[in-house]
Amino acid sequence: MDQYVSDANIAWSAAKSDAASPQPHAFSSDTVGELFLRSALRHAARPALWVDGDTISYGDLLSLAVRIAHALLGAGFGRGTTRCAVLGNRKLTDFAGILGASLARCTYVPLNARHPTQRLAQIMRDAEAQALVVDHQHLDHARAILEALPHPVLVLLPDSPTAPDWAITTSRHLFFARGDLPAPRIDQMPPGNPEDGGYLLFTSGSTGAPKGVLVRNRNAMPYLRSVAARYAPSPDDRCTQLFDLTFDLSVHDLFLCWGAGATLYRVPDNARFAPRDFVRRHGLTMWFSVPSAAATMLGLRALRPGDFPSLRLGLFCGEALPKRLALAFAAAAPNAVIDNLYGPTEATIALTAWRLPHDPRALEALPEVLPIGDPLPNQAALPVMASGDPAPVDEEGELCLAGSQVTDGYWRRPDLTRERFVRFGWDTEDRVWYRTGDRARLTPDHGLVFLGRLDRQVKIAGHRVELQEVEAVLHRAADANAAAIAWPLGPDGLARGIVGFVSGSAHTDDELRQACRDALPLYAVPSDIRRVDDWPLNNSGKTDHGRLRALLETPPEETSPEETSPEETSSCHTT
Amino acid sequence: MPHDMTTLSGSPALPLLSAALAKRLRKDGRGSTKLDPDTDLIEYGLIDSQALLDMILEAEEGSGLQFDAEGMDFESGVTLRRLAAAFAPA
Repeated sequence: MDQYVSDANIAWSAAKSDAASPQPHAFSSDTVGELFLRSALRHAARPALWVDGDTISYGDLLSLAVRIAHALLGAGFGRGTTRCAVLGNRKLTDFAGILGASLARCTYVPLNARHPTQRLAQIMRDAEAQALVVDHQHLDHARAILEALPHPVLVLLPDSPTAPDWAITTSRHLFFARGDLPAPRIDQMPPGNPEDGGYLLFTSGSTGAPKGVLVRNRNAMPYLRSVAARYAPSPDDRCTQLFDLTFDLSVHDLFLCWGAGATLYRVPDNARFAPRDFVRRHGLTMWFSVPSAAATMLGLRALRPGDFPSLRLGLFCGEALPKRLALAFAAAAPNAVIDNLYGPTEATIALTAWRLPHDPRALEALPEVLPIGDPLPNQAALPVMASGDPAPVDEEGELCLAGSQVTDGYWRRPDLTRERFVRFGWDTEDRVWYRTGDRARLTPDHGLVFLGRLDRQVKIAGHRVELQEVEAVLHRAADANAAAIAWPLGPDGLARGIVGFVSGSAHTDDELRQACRDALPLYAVPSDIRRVDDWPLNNSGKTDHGRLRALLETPPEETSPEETSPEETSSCHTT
Repeated sequence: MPHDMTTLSGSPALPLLSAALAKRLRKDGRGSTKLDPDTDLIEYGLIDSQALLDMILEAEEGSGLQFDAEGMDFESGVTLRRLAAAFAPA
């Protein structure tokens, strides 16, 4: 790694002279690439990133990024229309790859090395990605993906001294190892355009295949400006980086921090379970995670009163925030403002926010699942009734979102887009509204309150899973009736995992699990497979999920021939 | 289980944690996975956070001891031996 940084070392004299003159605020940039460039030039000597024990300055991170950017530009990519995939696991090269793609006006497509290669290859194909940045630890994954790809790809290996031996056997792809990358120059960087795609993310799709959401810079920048104004990050801030780069909340991590000249701390994988010592040692000031992360810390007794005096901000997003967790976190971080953010990928990171009050009396009056509050500036969020009219105050409806953060729809899926991105006759501004599928009501005291889902989407530790996608995989593998149920639903409505049901399949449980592991991210793989002889159907001849769920209420001995311990039996009743 | 067993070189939580992990792996259809007290459970993708909490809870119930996160340096690796060493009388 050291050599990787030092051989990219360039003189920053030009940058320094720029820094002396007044510069526009990084958050006023048109694109995330421009935001980073402005910030890096202003804060060149300051630390931008802590990763794997190394601190990388803004100048060095920019050097790495511009070499990647020039390789992409040299191949004729950029201009806002090329997708560049980035494969890895939150390593320095992955961060540099995202920035390089952004500087070159390419849309970045994050690939999580922990997901099955079959799924990653499908995403590369669906995204029509023409370039791939890979860190040296994930070359094997890259090989499996590239061998399955029909179209040629420019493969950038910024931290590999040479291309791997197998590169010659996949001759349709072009490989650039570290030494092949162009020298770092910050001139000739193309000015970005707000219309440029910022990132393309794939989320669970109910039809059995992941669906893509293209988030343009004109969607992402309004969000970043809103949170920059709300949280006023400064170069002295030290921010957590806990989210996988395939999770859009990581976009907040990276660009809120870097736009401010602050330092991003990539929390090591092991410490993600209980980042207590990590946060204390580095004196981190800004925290952002899913509520499940706090739940794990609480369970490990690593979230105690006064644990985090350095934190000035605690943000949660990605799933419902239980009151008991927020209160435990507030006690652990007595100097922090606690905000609950809400928003789907389709409406860019988060679109509403709610602040935990300090007044004990106000805390007492809060519901067990905390409110999601009010829309960010220039955005709109309204529960809409089945009739298509806005729900009156305190009445339930489907939460619909409008504003500059709402994206254009699903990637190459006009059918899905028409279904979910709609206009309403009553809207005098004739905006496009994204129908979230979330049930909510508007309350006079707390703004919006989340009530659950209208469909079968569930969150597993913040990850979005359409149960139909799991069912499609299970059905193909079992060649029989198959269903997936989220289980158990705790008092907070949070599911811990997924149970798969099959009837009369000739395949073993192990074969079914393996098929799921080959096709789905680990969090979507059923932790348990149950056999059901008498498949429950409802009146319309479809699988009756309610009755399958009821089977889970009964001791597993009655539903499964597998040996089950008494502890497992009782857990079905107690949770 | 008497508390003075914690003074012995091996924590009484270790066999309980091993048993809990073995059960979990069997349930996942990975019963043939070889269990080593020094294997990094996270790095090898053997468990997620929920499984970790379940294992600890089970070992606490079986040993009468309490897991103390203060006694555990997660960043150096999450192994059965390190987890077991962080169990102490409540």
